[in-house]
Amino acid sequence: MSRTSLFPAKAGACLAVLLVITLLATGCSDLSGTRSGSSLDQNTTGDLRAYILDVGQGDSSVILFKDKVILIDAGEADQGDTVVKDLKNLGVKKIDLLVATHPHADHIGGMQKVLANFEIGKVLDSGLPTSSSLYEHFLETLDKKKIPYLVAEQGQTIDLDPSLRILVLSPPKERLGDDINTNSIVLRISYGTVNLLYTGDATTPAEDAMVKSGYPLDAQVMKVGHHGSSGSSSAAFLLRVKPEVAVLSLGEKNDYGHPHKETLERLNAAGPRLYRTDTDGTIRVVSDGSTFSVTTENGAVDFWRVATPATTAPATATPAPGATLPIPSITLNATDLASAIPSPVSLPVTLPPVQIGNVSGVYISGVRFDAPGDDRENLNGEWVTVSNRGDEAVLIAGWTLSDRTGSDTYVFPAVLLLPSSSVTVFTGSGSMNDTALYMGRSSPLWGNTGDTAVLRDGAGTIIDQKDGVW
Amino acid sequence: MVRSMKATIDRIDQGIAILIDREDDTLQFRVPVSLLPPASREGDILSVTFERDGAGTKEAKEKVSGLIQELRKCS
Repeated sequence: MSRTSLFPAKAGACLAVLLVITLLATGCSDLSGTRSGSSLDQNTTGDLRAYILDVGQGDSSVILFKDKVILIDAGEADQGDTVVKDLKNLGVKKIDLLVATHPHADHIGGMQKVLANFEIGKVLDSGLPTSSSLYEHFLETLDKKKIPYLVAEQGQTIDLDPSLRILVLSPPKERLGDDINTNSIVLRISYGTVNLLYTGDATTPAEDAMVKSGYPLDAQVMKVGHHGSSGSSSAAFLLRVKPEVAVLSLGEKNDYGHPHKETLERLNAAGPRLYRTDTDGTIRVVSDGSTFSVTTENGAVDFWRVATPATTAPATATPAPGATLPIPSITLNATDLASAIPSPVSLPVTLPPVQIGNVSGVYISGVRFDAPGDDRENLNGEWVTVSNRGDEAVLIAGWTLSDRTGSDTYVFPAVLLLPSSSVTVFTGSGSMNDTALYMGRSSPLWGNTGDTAVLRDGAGTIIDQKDGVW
Repeated sequence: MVRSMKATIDRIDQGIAILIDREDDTLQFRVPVSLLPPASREGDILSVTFERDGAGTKEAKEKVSGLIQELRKCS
């Protein structure tokens, strides 16, 4: 689709006013503050509003969270004005985090226009030296304006708001060769149980590195890598991300044949609902942290669902005794297992070869840090629930759960978490069963005024973390 | 008369190199990789030269004029 700006600007001419009214009526504009014309309105409100802008062949994404603004890339140089206009129509005055996924012209071309029009909190850059004059000028402007500059590195988190988690998944500290696309910044942005994945132009070598890293990759919404090029979106990566919605950002009849047939086949096999900016225009995702909706530029809410049921009470799912497990993908003998587990865990020594399973399905589905009444009298009023939404059973023996400070760590015993099952870890004492584990502590663990539960595997890799303020 | 410019290979995708004028970031042009010097790669700065080929222009014009003459004779 070609356009000058998604959102109607103030206009004096009758035709323009008519257009504004039409767009408002179809719920396209955010300037009105409220949406109308859809029976699903009640499901489309939320603190998180994410836009994948139609900037032709290129990328530009905006994430609005409460009063915070993130801009990831700014399209080609000739799209800079469009990006600026869209941001202004969304009411943006300051960009708290400006991300340049990698220094190719279809991602950073519009940056000069953005820098000239908005105050910038900080810039997150891939930091790979390249001779591009466009990049040089971008860096010169940052320097001139004294904008705080940060180079992305896997594992980094960026704090903008206590309930928004921004995790850098790529590139790793040791860069992946010198290919610019491969070293694109990949971000996973989480609000409640809803995760958005922005992949820049990351290629399959980067995807492989992310899969191996052990960081959580699952995301309901994914901006597909490199405009749908066949060199990205590998089947293995998609299997870990498990997107429900995948968005392709690309230009109509582009020179590169994007999206490539192979990519579309892999995406179709993975099953997400596909959106593409060349035919759908700008795509908007709205979320309240547990549900999300997708709206296209035509104003129709055509995708809405509950992301993950929020756990409000300890889970009660009980795995059937002797349940058949899926075919193991990785097997480990008891010796390997023991060496993978930090002391002082003692394991039953007679463990048969067990499957580790696909750890990406495991996540922290619920927390309650502030027990009702006096915490010290109600230690089991504090709990953290760990669930498996993957297709494979996962052995979480030797995994750990720790608080924000990392000083208090609970080590899981030999628990096999079956698909679609949960286990709740209580702070106090009790008798362990399929769905309940007890830390056996005599004092509270979790901070009542806000804490973070961090789940790590036996090797210490973070699998998931969840903030809680209650 | 020869004019020259410097351009960066911004990226190469599907056999097409996107060159960006180092003086003007908004000026870009696409060139098939087959036309670039061998081993050219992303990030390389190219010196691009434009030279008017007076003799070649004259020769091509004359050839076309000849063809027009031929065709007119036959019609």
